Amino acid sequence: MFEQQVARFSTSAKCLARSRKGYRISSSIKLRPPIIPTIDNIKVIDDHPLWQFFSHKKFVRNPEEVSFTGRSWTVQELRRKSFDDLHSLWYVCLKERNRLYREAHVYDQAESLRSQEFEGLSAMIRESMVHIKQVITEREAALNNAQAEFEVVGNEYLGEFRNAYLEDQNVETDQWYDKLERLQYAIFGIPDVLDTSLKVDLRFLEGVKFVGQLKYDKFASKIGREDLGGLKDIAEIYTVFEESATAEGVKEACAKIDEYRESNLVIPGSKEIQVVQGFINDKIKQAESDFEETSQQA
Amino acid sequence: MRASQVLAFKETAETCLRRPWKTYRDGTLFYGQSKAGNKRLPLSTKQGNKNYYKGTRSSSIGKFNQYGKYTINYEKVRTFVIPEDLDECVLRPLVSSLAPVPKNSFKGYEGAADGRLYLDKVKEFIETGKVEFGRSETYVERG
Amino acid sequence: MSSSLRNLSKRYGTNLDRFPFFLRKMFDRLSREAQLPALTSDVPELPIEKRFKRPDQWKVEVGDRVLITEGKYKGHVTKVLALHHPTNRIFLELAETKKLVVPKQFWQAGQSTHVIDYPKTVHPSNVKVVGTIVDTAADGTERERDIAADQLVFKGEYWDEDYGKMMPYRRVKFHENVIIPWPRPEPEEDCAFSTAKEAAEERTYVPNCLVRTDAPENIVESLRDPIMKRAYKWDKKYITRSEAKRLSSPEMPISEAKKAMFEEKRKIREAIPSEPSVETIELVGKLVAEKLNAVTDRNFAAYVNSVGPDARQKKKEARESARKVHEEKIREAEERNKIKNRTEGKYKLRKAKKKGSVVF
Repeated sequence: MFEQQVARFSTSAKCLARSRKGYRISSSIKLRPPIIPTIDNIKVIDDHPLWQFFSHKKFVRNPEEVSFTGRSWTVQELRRKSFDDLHSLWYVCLKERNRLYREAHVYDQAESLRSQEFEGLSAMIRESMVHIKQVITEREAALNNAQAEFEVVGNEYLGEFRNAYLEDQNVETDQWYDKLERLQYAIFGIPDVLDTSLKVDLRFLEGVKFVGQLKYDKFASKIGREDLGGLKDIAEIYTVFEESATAEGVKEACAKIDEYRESNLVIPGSKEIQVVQGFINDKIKQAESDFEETSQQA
Repeated sequence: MRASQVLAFKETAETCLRRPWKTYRDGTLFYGQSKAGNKRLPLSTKQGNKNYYKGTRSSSIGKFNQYGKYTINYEKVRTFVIPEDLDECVLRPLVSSLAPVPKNSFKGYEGAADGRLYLDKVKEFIETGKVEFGRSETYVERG
Repeated sequence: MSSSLRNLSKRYGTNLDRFPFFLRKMFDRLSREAQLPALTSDVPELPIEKRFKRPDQWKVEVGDRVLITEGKYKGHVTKVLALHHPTNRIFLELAETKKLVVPKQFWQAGQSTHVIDYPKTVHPSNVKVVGTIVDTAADGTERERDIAADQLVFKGEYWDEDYGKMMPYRRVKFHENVIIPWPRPEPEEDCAFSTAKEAAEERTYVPNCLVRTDAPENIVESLRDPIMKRAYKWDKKYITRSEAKRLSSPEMPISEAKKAMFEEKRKIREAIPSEPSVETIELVGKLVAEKLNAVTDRNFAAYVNSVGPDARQKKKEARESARKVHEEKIREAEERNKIKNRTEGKYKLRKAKKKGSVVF
């Protein structure tokens, strides 16, 4: 056991020296002239991620190459840009600053004052980045304030919209369809195309109720289905909401409601979110299976 | 003399509520199970004394196996959420000096974070499907 | 700056702003002495808040023709080459130079000796802006001539396409109809770091939803420290202790018994009549009148008459009239001074007009 331990920790040279063979260097090892350590001996693959720290795969740029004529992005300009643009711009800035910082460090090590020019540009870019942060926080603050404002004036606005919709003689136009769609998205966050990642919340539910009720109130007397006596629970409202905003759509929905009422089910308020989520998931599954069928047929 | 020194000796219900660590004479707590319950939360990176270093569990990105080979655990590798079309981005870190510096006007509103302004824009969007951002000849834009 | 100095934090690094003025001055002097003369400027750099930012502070722009009024080249007309922002001074085409010994590592292209002539900067107050006006002679011929503005005023603004911003009108003082236009700037080319104008002006964001923006959820929280001690800095629903103090007035720590005592004392104080009642006044008046009417001494009677209510009224009226006369005198003197100042000012103006606004 002791011998084993020695063998494990001793170096290879000692092993060779203790070996019974007469020579110390293995015959398989051939002596070659030493390799001089230069940068030319190092090969780096072209798509190495660290190339992102270099501009055009150059070791350092001249100070003339980083002379600039522009200015930083102002907050006013960034207010025009979407989040994706801001996100991209942030990384463009960050990568450029990484490059500049590395090059400034190289000049610093050589005790050259030229690093100042790199740092000057870096400071300008930093200002752009600070402004990006400001715009993002400002937007979120505006959204929060708008939500608080809507708590106060929201019912009045929705009432006005409702009155305008009910009073208009002809609402079966593209203009009204688009308007209703935009209202759904803008106030209640109900997107045009449903998605698996969609989470039903109270706001979504409110939207479903508002739009479903609106359609029913508009078309119930026109198609002569006032005998239903109003929509009773969320399942009925959702059936109206799902159909198109036309007299025919509401008529179909009413037919479905007749079927539903035969089951004598009433959904309590606490289960509404779950029920609507279930409806939406079913619809998405249905759409997926339809899509698969059509693609198989094709 | 400060009033609180006098109040400290009084045993009103209010002072006890404000000082939950106070006990009754028999040693039981006024309320709760433990005195220091709400202090027993995990420390963050910014807390603790000068010797406290809480890593991000990300300095090692894997481990050596028994043969001395390093295997990377990609759950430990630091990741940055980079937009997919970053290469196609036409935006550069600075703006051309030929582009005039715009100004924003918030007439009738408090500023960029005004909720009423945001709401009015949303209403405009519902009504017309787009939001107009007019710009005057002197580069004053709607905020 | 060396890397070690750059990496120093604001807290532990040498922050000169923390020292008193005389120490800062000393450090400044020491650093100047340690530097090569070629690298120091003869004028100290100004703090950022004192630097010029607007064109009406500079009064001149690059490309302006100016008349030099101080120094060796006094009376010459040259062009402005550049603005030196750190010192609020300008570089002129024709300027005094100083000889500098430049180390080889800072040699410019084409330089062959260590010694160069480096132009000195000039303060904008030591030059006058030169403009051109057109004179129409009696026979209808038009003749251009240059004027140098003694003083300038900036009134009104216009949108300048070339500068891309609002520029103030530059007028000659006392001849405000004469406008000296700003020189046209040289067009700059875009560098590799700058976004094109069209891309910068493109709008890709429209606020169209009250539920969410186009940013991912909790974006703001991700930018902030979740266990920040002073959350009120971001969120105004928290108020600081000092703010709370300011909102509520402090209360004197007085016990209930003492409060009751104060209240009692106040009531007693209020119960004491501050003015005598009507009956008391009448009684006292009657007694005094009786006593005074019974005075037999002639001198004492005269004294009583002199301090009586009628005599006091007369004295008051006399004092009032004297004050009025005095005020009238002061007013007249002020008017006289005004007229005097106006005439003197006119005289000075005429003198300045004769001397200033040199015509070439």
